[in-house]
Amino acid sequence: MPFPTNSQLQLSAAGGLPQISFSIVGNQIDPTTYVVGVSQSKVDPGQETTVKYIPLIKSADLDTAKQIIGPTVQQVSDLDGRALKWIIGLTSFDQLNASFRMQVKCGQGNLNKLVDEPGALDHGTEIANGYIFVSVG
Amino acid sequence: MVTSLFRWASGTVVLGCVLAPYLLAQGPSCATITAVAGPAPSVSYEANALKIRVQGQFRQEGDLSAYTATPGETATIFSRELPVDSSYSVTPLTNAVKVCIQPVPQTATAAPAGNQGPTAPQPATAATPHAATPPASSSAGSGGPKAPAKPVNCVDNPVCDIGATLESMAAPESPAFTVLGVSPTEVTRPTSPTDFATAVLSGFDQNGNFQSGIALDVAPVFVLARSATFWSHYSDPRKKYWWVRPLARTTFSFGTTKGASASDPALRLATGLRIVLYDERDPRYLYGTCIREFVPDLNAPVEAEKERLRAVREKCLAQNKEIWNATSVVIAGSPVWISPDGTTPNFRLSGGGYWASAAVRLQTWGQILGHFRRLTGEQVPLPNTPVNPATGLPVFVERGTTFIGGAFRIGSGTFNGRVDGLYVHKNVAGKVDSYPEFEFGLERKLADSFYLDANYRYAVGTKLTASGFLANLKWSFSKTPTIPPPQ
Repeated sequence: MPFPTNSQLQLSAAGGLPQISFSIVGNQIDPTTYVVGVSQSKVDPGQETTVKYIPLIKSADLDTAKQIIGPTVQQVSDLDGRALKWIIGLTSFDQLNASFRMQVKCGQGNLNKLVDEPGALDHGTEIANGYIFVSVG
Repeated sequence: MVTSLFRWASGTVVLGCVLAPYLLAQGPSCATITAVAGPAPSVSYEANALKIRVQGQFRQEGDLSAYTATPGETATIFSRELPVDSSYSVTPLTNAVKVCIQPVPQTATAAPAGNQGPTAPQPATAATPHAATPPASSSAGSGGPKAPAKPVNCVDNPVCDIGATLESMAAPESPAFTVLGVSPTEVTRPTSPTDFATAVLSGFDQNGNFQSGIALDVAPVFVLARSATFWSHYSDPRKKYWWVRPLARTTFSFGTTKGASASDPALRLATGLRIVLYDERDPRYLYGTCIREFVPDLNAPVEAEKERLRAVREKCLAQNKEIWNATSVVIAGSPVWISPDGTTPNFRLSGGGYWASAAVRLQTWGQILGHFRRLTGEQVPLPNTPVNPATGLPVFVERGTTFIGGAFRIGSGTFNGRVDGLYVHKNVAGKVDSYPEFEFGLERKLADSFYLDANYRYAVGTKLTASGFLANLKWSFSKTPTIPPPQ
């Protein structure tokens, strides 16, 4: 069970709001819309699964950088100490156990690869998800 | 009593007189020419005349009264015209040929002409607009029951099934196999695009020669670019990813055949490419469009979301319905190389096949179709020529054909209609022929599973008299509609 994934994102207070991009490596994967949300408040490690998340991005545009902005997030300092949660459904039209790699890139300007996780469908579906702990310095 | 006997006797005589010419005409008129010193005589059919050529001294048997003998410097030629509604058969013997002329039953005359091979008797039909069709040749002893009529391809004969021809002109799944004349059903189809489909071929080709070889069918990009990220854009509606689906659905086919008989030792090789530029019916595209609408809930348990996603997947798979009038564009091509003697150094390009098929959906009620096909280097039996007496096989020549066809179809729950048109241009051994064909069809639903079909085939140059109209009008009842009505 490779998901959820946990990763860290260090942001510069002088930089702008970060961007995020999702990619799927695998030739028989049909993805759903993905959702990116931010925790309602600051999160300590281990508590990320118990807090509520506010949706910021809902999109089906893979391989396209989207700015992380929305309710409670208007500037980069708003993200300090909070966690981002991403989630996407992966399916296949004709394969029940197709393998894939889930890649997530995030950053200010240049996007760094935060997640590159292998997985496989379970009866034709999988919910890929993960947490990104943000710190601003 | 005497009167009755007289009436019976006179009736028998009259009946005998009336039937005698018919009964006598049923028997074949045969002649045998034997070469005494030279090679076996040859038989040909040219300009509505049957000709037997024999070199040197010869011996003749049977009925040669209808033949005209013309002595030449190198050979003597016996020639005779063939009456309408007659056919002939040639029996190769030791250094001799036996030629028989027999009348064709009227029922056979009305049947559509088939392929011009030795096993498909083809009577002369002077009423057809293209009456170049000769009386059929047939091998001796093949006078069994005739095969059931099958749709006649308009490329082979102007008196044809236009609808069936249009369907057969669509770009094939595996163009390499099609141009080689091997049946695609002999090849295991891939269950997923990443699979190779290979098969060892062995069987008879369309010309009756035994062939063996290998066939391969593969979607190369699926195999070679498995680590690419663009595959997730298969159902992406954005214009910048329009190329993903054509790339994914491009298939490459490769086939070789080797004749295993002395009459056909050739080695043939074909490489085919088929590209689906657009297909509204693409089931994976329809599924992908549907599944993209699933939006995960950030705050729901993952297992619950997974169950919800499975339910949506099942729903999207079930919704994958057929679109009867879908828009699509497909192109395909396959060059052919041939080595006549079966050796690899003698490979040379020998034509090939090229297709383009397109369909445009008109909302829910109609469709416009167009097909183009160009075949060159095709080996076909030479028309108007009997089989080679020495080998018993037809004489094959090169044929090039260009086919352009179109159709307009409308469909509703109770009424279907179609207008088909096509144009055939062919070059058989240097002889060029071209002709257009048109057909109109209407279908009315009379009750559940009960349809009335009416078709009218319009032959260009035919006078539209009442009898001509009725001769080309066909109607029938059917349990299924010709065009599936909209869902």
